[in-house]
Amino acid sequence: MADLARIAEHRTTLSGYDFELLADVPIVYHCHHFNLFWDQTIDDALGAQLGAVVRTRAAREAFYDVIARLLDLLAVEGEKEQRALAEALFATLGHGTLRMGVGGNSGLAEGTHLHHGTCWREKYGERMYRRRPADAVTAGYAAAAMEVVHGLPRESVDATEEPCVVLDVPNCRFALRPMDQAPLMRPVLREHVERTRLEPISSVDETAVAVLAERLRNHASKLFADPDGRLRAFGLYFALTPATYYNRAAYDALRHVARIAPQSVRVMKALLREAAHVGTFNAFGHILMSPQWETQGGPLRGEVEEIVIGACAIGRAMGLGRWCIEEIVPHQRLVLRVPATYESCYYVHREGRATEGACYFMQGAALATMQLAHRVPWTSRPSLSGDFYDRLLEGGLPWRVEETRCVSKGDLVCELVVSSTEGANRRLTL
Amino acid sequence: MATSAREDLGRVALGAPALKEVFIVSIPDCLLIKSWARAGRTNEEETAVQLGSVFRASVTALTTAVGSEAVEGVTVEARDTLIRLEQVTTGMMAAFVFERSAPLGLMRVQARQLRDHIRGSVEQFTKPMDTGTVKRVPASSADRAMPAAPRFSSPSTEERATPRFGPTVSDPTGETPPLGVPRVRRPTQPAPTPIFEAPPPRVPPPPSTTFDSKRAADAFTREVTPFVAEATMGPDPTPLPGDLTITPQPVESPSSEGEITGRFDRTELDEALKPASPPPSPIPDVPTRPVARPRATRLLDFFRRYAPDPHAALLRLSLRTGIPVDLLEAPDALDDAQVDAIADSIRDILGQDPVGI
Repeated sequence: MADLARIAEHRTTLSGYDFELLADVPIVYHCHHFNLFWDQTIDDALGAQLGAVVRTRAAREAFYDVIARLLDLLAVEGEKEQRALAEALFATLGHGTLRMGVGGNSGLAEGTHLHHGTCWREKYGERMYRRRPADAVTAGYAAAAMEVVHGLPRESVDATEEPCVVLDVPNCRFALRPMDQAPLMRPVLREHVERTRLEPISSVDETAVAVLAERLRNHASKLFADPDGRLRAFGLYFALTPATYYNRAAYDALRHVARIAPQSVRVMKALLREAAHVGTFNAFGHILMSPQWETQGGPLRGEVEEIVIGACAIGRAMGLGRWCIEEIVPHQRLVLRVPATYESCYYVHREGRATEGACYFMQGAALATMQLAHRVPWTSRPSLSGDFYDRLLEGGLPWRVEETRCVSKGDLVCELVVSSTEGANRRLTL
Repeated sequence: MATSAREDLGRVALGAPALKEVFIVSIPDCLLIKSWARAGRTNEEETAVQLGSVFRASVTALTTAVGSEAVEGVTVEARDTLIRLEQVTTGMMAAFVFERSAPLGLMRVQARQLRDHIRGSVEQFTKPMDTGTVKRVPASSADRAMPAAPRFSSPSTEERATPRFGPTVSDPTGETPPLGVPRVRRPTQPAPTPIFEAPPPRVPPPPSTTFDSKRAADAFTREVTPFVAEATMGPDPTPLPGDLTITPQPVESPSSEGEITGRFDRTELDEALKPASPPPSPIPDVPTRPVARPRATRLLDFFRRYAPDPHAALLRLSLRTGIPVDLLEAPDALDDAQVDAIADSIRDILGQDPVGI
């Protein structure tokens, strides 16, 4: 508990951008629906083996900054103490329980209740088998923790998960071993985000959005993982993960696909959008349906504007950026603007200038916002189950999204325009 | 005895005028193996899925209610339709759709007779050949000149008539293929050997006013056998030795067993079965269904049924295989390498093999 409090002291909100920071590293809440689908898309694009490598490296880089900075800020000395704090941090973020140095072997880590593996089992385990481990994020975290705790060069520890709960074993184990140092990447931390020019924008009904966002942010700050390291809230599992993990894994995979199978780039982008869609639909939908929301925002009437305002507030509170409504025409059109998304901030620092909008999470999230606003009968309080979601998408999406402006293209803001397809091809390809 | 497929279907309809549709469905995956309909239908695959699901649910319900008792059949009564679901083998069920006017007992009898015959055909293909059913080809004059024909290589009626497979699979007179030869087969499908001891004599069928269930079942089985066998055995059956043949089961004369009278239009039936001329089919233009669904189609059906997040299933396959989504939506055009890639991806995504495909 003492660790939780000490860690929580270093959580801040980056004003104007509405990003959540931990030790000045941008972090985001995402639910298990998003996390599983996002990772699955990386694996589909690269194959399970290469996909796991790419995701492990992305997690290693992303978590290294958090662990190293936090240990520094908290002035934790000694290998044992540092390892204990790294383990506590892992649980605090909702990723499960991690034990480093199992059996006195510093090259061995063991995980239980890991976010990805256990959530995969809960969501898909009864319907299908999985032949590959699912916890590349934990593997990356364990590698980063070993580098920090043992003072090893950054990007110099490799981690692989051998047994995994998805393969019907009780615990997950990770083998850590030194490797040649991988090239270091340009960091994306608070100071780098702040270099992105901030366009002061506000939303239609800004007061309502801001008030709801603040209330929700306060509520979220009181959410703690349980003793197993699981962050259960609103009927879902959430995890706090550095934004760099999602960005690096996705953009690296996209670049690879563009090189070896350019015809599949559009498909991959569509699947990344779908990851955002399924995650946003479930997370935002469950939050809107929750008693906590009713306490803070009153009972839902199910009006389009009400849901969109709620979605913007939730987006801000989850550290996904300063979502602002620019225009809304019920059943026709929604225009959202964000001064910068966690994706565009990363893109301009790592990938250079984009030729088209590169905020795939934000694109899918905007689509999900329209879905939530128009296709959920809120007053009858439906169960937002997997079946409900599948039925909703049986005929495809009745909306299309276009990122008309993007910071990664040199625009001042990111702008998402969602419009009705009205009988056009509704396929998910978008 | 020579007959055409269309006449076969006509005979089925003659034998059971209340029979409207038949679906052979694989279980537990509920994929359509073969269907027949008196009138046109466009959603047979979806219907097969639903019928298979009803059957599966019935089995589950029965097991829950009374333990592990085997389901013999399921009857669904609607205002205009009766449906009888029968288990053919452990991996296959048949659904017989009757008009509502058919007496329940009659419907059950006809459904079981057809089911038994289908089951017999399946067993014939699935169990190891024994000497009781396999004979050496006699050196009859009609067959002496025949080359050792590949047993499992006749993909279609049209191809069967070409010299590629020799004359063994077509009537020496150049007429329609003899009874017992599946009308359409694909190269990978097991099939009864097309070699006969001697051409069966052309004997006009005796006039009958009774329901000739055996003949009706024979006719229907000839339609479904290749697909039944394929679904049961998979694509890589053990080939028969080149000089062995299956003795065709003799067509029995109408038996009193299962004789049904009083429900049919005797005048029409008599007229239809007049021995002097080819029997006019009461349904002259029964459309014959596409007889075989390509492997890619079946794989994709299987995947759509079992894939997580079905709305994104094709996109995931496309990303994994590099095959454009448009092509996956029209899988007939896929080549073998692409189909293999699809099968591999399905195996990876689901963690299991697409059973029997």
